Amino acid sequence: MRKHNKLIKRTKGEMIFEICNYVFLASLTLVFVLPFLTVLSTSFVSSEEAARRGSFILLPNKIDFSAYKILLAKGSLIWNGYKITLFRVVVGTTLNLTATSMLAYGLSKKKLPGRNAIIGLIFITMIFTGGLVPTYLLINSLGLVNSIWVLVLHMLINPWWLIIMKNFFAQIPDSIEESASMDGASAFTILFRIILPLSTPILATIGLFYAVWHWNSWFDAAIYITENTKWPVQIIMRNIVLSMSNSDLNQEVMSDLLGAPPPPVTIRSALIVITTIPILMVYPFLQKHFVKGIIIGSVKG
Amino acid sequence: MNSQIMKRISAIFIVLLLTVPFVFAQGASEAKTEEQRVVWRFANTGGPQAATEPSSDPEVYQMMQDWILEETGILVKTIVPPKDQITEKLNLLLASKSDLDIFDANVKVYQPKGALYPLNDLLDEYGQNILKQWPDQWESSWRAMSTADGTIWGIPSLPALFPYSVFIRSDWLKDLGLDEPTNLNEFEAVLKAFKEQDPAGNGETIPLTTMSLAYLGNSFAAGFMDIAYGNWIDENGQVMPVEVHPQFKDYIAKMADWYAKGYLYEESIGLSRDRHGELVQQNKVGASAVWYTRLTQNMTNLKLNIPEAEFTPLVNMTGPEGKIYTNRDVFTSAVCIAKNSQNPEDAMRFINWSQQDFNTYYSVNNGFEGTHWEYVKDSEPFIIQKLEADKKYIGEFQPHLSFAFTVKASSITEDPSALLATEFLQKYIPQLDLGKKAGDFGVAPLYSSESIQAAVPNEGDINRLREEEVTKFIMGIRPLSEYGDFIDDMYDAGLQKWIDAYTAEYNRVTGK
Amino acid sequence: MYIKKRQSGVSLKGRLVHYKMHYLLMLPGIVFFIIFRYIPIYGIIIAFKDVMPFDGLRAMLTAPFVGFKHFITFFNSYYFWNILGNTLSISGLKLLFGFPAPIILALLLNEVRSARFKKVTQTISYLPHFLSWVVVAGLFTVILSTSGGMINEIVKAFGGNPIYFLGDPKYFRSLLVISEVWKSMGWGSIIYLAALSGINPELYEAAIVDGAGRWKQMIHITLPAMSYVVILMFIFAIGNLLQAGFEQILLLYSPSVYGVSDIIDTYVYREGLIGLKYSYTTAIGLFKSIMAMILIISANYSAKRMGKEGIW
Repeated sequence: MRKHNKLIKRTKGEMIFEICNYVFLASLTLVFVLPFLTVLSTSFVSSEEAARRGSFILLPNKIDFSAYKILLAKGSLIWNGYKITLFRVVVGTTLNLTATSMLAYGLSKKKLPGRNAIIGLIFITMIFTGGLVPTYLLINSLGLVNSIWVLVLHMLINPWWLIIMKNFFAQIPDSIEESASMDGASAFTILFRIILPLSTPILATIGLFYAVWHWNSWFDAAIYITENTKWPVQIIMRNIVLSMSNSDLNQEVMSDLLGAPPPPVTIRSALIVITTIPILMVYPFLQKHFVKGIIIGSVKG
Repeated sequence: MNSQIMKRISAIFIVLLLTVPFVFAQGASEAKTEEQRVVWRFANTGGPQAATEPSSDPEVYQMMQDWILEETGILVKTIVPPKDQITEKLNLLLASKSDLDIFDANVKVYQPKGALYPLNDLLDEYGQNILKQWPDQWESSWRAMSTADGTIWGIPSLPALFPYSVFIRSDWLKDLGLDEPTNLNEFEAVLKAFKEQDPAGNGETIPLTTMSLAYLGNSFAAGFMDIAYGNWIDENGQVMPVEVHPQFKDYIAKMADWYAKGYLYEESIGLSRDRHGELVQQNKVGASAVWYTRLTQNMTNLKLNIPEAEFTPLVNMTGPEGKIYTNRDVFTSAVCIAKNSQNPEDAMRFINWSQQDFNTYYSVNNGFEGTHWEYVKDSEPFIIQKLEADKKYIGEFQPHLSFAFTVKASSITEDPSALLATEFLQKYIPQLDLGKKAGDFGVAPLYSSESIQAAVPNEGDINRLREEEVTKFIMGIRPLSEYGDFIDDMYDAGLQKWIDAYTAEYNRVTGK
Repeated sequence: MYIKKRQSGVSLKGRLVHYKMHYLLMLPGIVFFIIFRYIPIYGIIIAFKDVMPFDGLRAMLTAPFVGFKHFITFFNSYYFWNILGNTLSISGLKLLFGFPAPIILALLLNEVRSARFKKVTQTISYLPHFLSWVVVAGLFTVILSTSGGMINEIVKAFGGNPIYFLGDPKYFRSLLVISEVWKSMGWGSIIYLAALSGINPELYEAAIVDGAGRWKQMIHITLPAMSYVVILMFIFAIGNLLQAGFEQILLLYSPSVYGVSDIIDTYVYREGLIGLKYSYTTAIGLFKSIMAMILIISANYSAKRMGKEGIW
């Protein structure tokens, strides 16, 4: 963003700050990455080694893929789960962003009649919810139970993120819009042709929030989806892990399942890797929108 | 012009956004089978919840469904909830009156909420096998399933048990030349030897661990008192909590002593199951006082690590006041039929059919004989060999897991975890004379939780006070000289109400 | 269009006509809120009733009102002040340390010249967000353990006695704050980085021409430009003061530290274990909501007084 700064001579104080900044951020990075690396390498540890050495192992003696084999041996169901998850992330995020930006745009107009009332009503939903049972009864009566669309629809707009977007839009100078509306462009055109292209950082941010939320969600699917062919990958994975950590004492006594050991830490680690890496891959594609300064000023009419 | 097109596109888009999902949802609902009698099984315990597969092989599932249909004329359908949200899902299905007939639940929780179907008539008419198979000596289970008016709300799964024990590393005892301790003094000497001689090496030996205050109490407290670790009846006939018993302090003093000396693991109380398992498997733990499976399930990995490692349950150990263990009272979890069941008769028929003989029971729970398992010995007590089948069956159709059948069979296994658990199960679990019984043993399961909740709305606070302060005394965070203050605090928190409510229930149930 | 624009300041009808396309754009969102958020909101009334949840909708609506019974039970409970105090002090501490952390991280990242270093650091800082609390709690338990835990090995190396950190009321809250900040600061910085990248570079160029150093640039350009996000996030954070971190605490606490860590949500959880207390737990939830509403409205009001755009 400020390459030309290099041309300007830095003061001594700035040099010291710079060095400190790098050192600080580098050590922070280490603190962030080490636990994750530990999880990553633990996922490649054999169960025998894990039994001997405990749960978090940074340097395995021997690389072992059996945890991944166990998780991915479920074959078609896993891929099916990824498909559902992909549907959620792609279709869901698209609908989320569309609906959120359309509403946010309208609400960013200070003179729009009823604006404050609408924001007030949305604000109430940020704070008061009817609870799980009434919501389930609603979803049930809409016929959405066991439909994958419920995963996309029941949280179409996150009111907190809506407000952030609304405030971002409100930052954009009116002058930009005015020139367009004088040319006869409708609100729809202005939003999609002018406002949104100017708002890539916030779209990337909120889009990332929605996408990651969709990716990580399992509770809604656990509640609303009954057939396991419609389960997202998170539920399938959690199911595999939880099956080994069956915590119901009664049923351990009754059934023939006495030998079930607790979930090997290697499998839990592999699970984290499998369910985290794909969504992390998305990030670098979005990153350019954060780094590239968008130039509101330069469009000025 | 441009804006006209845009308007039209946006209008279409909005309409789509609002309608698409509902169209799809419509397609998803399936057509109802005509005339076929259907029973829905909500598979919330047992095999389906323990299996790594989310469902059986479709072919095997179909075969099992067909077999049941052929034998009983009932089409059984199953719902396997995701393991995360089993209870939530059940509650929502009940609240929305969805298709649901058979499910596992705690009768004491679900009956007062009006979720259960009364079973007396159904049992009399269609449940003869069920009544016959549940042994007479566990008759108290039926009472625990009932309300005061004699209505039965569930089919019992488990009787009272002896599930808590101290397990000790017997190979370490041998290495150190020690005998198996028979009383707490000898046990303390063993803990001392473990601490000082460090059989694990590197100073890593944990002489004794547990996972919670309840496990510790159920394993040791009775040895210091003339009562069990649980409610007791004082000389005025009142139901009292164990903390106010005069001898309870002796138990706490001993535990605090062990804690201070480093015998009892510092992180014992509130230790997670994973962490406990890890310490056991890493060959650090000398003795553990837990619900037996919490120890046995670690044997496989421990033996991978140390092949000669052995744990032995010290079931006959005694304290100054005799037996140290406390029995688990009758369970109130059961198989239930939903209040809104469309077809309760067939639900009961289906459960009853599964208990006509061992073969049927075992098959519907574990798969087909010859494919999924075979007999090594086909008369009581049965011995079963499990077979590796390509097409797995996880037990979605299991109508009712019953301890009456569990004790009839054992399966052959070489897995060390299963071996130790099976041994404990067969030898000790039904032996109630190994432990002491609480003062309201057999009566407590019949207390009405509704009345108690109404009389003591803050029972949760009292429970926290008991758990938190006793833990602090053991850990030495609070000196034992303040024990009297703690009793006073309990009364401040409403203990008298608690005593009155429990006493009233005790008198009601026992008819005093 | 131009004429309409002029009218918009004048009559209501004129403004309605002017904004008709805006309303159309807002329609799907508004319909969503009405259907999915407003229809189920009737569920709040069970806080004022004794309802058996399994009787379904009708029972929820027809059961008799019991007034504020459940609220009074809650306020009179033995530990009410303890759990309210814990909730506020834990989330207060988290706000104190956790709120500025992502802002500082974003500002520091913004000062980094090497694009690659910046990208790598940023991406890595999100990693903890993807580890669930179960994993983080497991990690902390192992690192802090008295038997073989890294921290206690260091303590021992310096001749100290191993400390059971997670069981000690002295350390427990600090550990909650540290683990929370560690887990959320990277992810939290995204929104600030987005705000930073919306700043017009020309402003910096002009400042450099005026001879402003980095510090001055930050004070006079960067901070004011991102202030609207900071204010907004602060209002949100204030609204969340009664959410002290249920999952985290549930996984990390044990009886010896209940006194400093039992919060409203863990209390509700334990109450739920005793039985299905739908009405009681709904009442407590409603109490939390009302508190949150008061907090947000006052924070929003203060923001407005400072001349900033709040929620409204």
